[in-house]
Amino acid sequence: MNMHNRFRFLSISGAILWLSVFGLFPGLLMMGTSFLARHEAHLVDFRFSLEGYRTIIDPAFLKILWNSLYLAAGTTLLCLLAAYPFAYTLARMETRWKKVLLMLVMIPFWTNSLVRTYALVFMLKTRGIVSTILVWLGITAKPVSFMYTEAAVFIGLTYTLLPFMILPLYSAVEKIDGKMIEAARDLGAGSWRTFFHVTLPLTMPGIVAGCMMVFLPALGMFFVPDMLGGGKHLLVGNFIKNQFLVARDWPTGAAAGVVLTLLMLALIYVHGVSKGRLNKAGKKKS
Amino acid sequence: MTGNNPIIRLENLGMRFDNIMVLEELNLDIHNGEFITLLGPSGCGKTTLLRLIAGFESPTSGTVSIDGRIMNDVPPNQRRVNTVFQSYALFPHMSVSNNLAFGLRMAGIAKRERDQRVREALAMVDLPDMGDRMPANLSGGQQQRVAIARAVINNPKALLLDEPLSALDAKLRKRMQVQLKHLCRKLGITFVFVTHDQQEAFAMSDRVVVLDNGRIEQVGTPEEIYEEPVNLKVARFVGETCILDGSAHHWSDGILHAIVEGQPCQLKTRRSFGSHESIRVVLRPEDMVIVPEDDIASTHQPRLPGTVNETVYKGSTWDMVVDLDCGKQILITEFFNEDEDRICHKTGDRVIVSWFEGWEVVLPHEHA
Amino acid sequence: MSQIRNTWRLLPVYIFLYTPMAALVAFSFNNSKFSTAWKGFTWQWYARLASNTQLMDAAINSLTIAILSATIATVLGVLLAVALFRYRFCGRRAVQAGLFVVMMSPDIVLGISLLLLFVLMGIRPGFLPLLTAHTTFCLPFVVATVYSRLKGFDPHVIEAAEDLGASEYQAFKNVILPMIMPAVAAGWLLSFTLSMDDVIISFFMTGPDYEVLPLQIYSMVKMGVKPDVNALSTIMIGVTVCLVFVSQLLMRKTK
Repeated sequence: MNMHNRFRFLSISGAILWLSVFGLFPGLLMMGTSFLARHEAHLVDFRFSLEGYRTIIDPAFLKILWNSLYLAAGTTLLCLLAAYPFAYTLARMETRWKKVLLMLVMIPFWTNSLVRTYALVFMLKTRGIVSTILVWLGITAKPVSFMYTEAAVFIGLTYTLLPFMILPLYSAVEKIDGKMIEAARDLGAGSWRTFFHVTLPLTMPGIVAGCMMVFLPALGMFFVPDMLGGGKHLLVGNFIKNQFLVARDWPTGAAAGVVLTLLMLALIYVHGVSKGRLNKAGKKKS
Repeated sequence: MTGNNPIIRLENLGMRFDNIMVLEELNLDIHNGEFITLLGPSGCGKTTLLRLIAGFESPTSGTVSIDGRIMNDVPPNQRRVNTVFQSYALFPHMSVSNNLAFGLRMAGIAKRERDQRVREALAMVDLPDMGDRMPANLSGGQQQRVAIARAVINNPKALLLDEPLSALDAKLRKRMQVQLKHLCRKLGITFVFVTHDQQEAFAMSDRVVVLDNGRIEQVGTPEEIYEEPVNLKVARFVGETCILDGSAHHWSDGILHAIVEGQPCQLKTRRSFGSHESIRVVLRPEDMVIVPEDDIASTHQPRLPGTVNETVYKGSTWDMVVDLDCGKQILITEFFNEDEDRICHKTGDRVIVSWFEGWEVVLPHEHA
Repeated sequence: MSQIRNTWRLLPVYIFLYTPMAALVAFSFNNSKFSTAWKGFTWQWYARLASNTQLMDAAINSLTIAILSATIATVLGVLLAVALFRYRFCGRRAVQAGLFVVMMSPDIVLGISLLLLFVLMGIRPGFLPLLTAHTTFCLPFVVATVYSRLKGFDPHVIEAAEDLGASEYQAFKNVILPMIMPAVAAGWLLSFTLSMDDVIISFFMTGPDYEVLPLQIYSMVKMGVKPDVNALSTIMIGVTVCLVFVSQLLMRKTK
């Protein structure tokens, strides 16, 4: 190998090596572990077994999975409903404050999510800010706590993940050529029809990306139910964490991890399709 | 042009991308000091050919030799040819001087000599005071000249230019054409120029290579290409054409007796044709003339009747679109002749059309 | 006029995002250990924080991990992004797919699979697992940042460098790197922030002898409000604000 190629070789192989050893091989390990049996002393017993999967189709796990999907999907919907009008308005604005306004979304995006969840405690606890306001408005007579309720988990997940929905939507809306919306209006479409036939399809990849960035983490953020849900309203993340650290049943935890991975791959596929469709349509036009 | 040793030799060159043939069995010798243009429509492979010479691509088959050495596996940084890119590709983070000095720095030339050569190169392209500017603060024409200076400063064996004028406005482009041709003479460096604009190709080149679909259709001087195209494809590509159908009768001593659009006539051609062979007569708009109807003595033949469809005043010429009775539509360009009274034809006038004797090109009938 | 109305429409989301953080910041200066009622201004929680060696050690560990992993991820990520942009090598698409999968993987999945890897390798939780794990989840973000910057400029510029005699390494050093520098810096900052932010993956990588800040906070606040944690959180929010500001400046320079 001459000097000419050495740099190319080193830069490609170094990065690929890292990615395979620490990115992809552990995934395979997880898959492998999910097919092993549990062993009291050595964590895993090296023989093929479907025990892990058998445990997770147990009604108890399915209940957690179902509840977790419900919480994650609900959070995704809440985020989408709050973020879409926000991102649309922000992206379509023409003021010099736009950059600052966008930066104000970036700050919570980059702030440690644990710290932000912790901040919510000030709002939701007994004699917290929400409670104080409600009393002051006369809506409730006594201070109320919102802690350790399903609503608190929803609020917590939405609060931590909302910026992850806003940013992809923002960039999707910003990419739309304003002329295209004007063209739709010019061709006689009303605001609603413009929205459903032009804006919505064009921002679809952004919507799917945002939903992925909210839905997938929402399944795993075990500290949110831990802090706000008081150990109730569990997520798949809590289940996996417990299998690994409390119950010491690694095959079951790994099997749940495999389920999450498959869910992720399915969503990536949907994302690819929605993006590909738009790209193809764009190419045909040009 | 020095003897028989070409500076660049392409032999049986073939190139595929994803199993799509881009260049096929291409042979070409480029001589030292000549200005050669690769001309063809977009997608004909001309830019790929240039990139093969520069070393950005390696050929699927055949060889590229520079100065007698086979270069197939030599990376671009070790080839003594330099490229002027269509987008100029100036380094945006370096001043003009540093852009120019880059090649010299890579070659390990000492700073003092570098500075000297940068000064000379800047003077050569008429930008003596622009050395400290950043490329973004230059006009398109200035960037263009910096790109040329950055390439020629390395004394390359050949300068490869990939449609470098296409981003300039028409006026500046004309001026740069002249300057480039002048530069080629002055430096004595081979210029390989790629363009899809036949006028540009003709204005500058010693030789023109017409490419289509990855093949060389014709190589020759601009005059040869324009006046004696080897086939209809070349004829059509290098200018407006009017093509008439006919059949050969007999050929002798460069004169072909034939019937063209139903009229007997004599055609000048070096090709020989068999009896009753189908032929095509290729003419340029400026080859055509309107024959006055009463001018029986005219030597112009054959005489094709038609009706004027449209007249266009073009300043130095009158263009006329004539629908011939045989069903063809042709374009005629007449140059003003100040000494001559001329009848101005109007739409709907009946006219007789012919061409200047001997200006025709006769080609065999091909199904193109 | 409509611009102002639009800004009003954005307000509810900003209120939702900022009220809890503002409350947290405010209470870090509240002179009361338990009450949410305002009992006057104090610095005492910050003073107590400074004397909390456990938290301070965790903070130093977190910074060490963040700086090292951001640096390694940036070096690897820049090389990989440039390779993906410049070269057509076999497995290029597989690498892109792999990066995307790592980027999208739920943290919990990445956390347990890396835990399995280190258990298999016989490495105890602590510094090395944390460093590698953080580098791994930062890597795709660096690649994405740098790659999108590379896509923004004329690929012929790199060819021009090679055409003028630069070897692949010289072209990288003299042309590509200076041009992508803002993106490299942005990628580093991004990695640093991601590393400081991470809770879930670190959860599986830390051991009793090497704690990081988020997990220290986690174990402290599971059972309610702690005033010195308020002070620490306020500092962390402040650092984030600075980082976002700097990275925005870098991004502006990029354009």
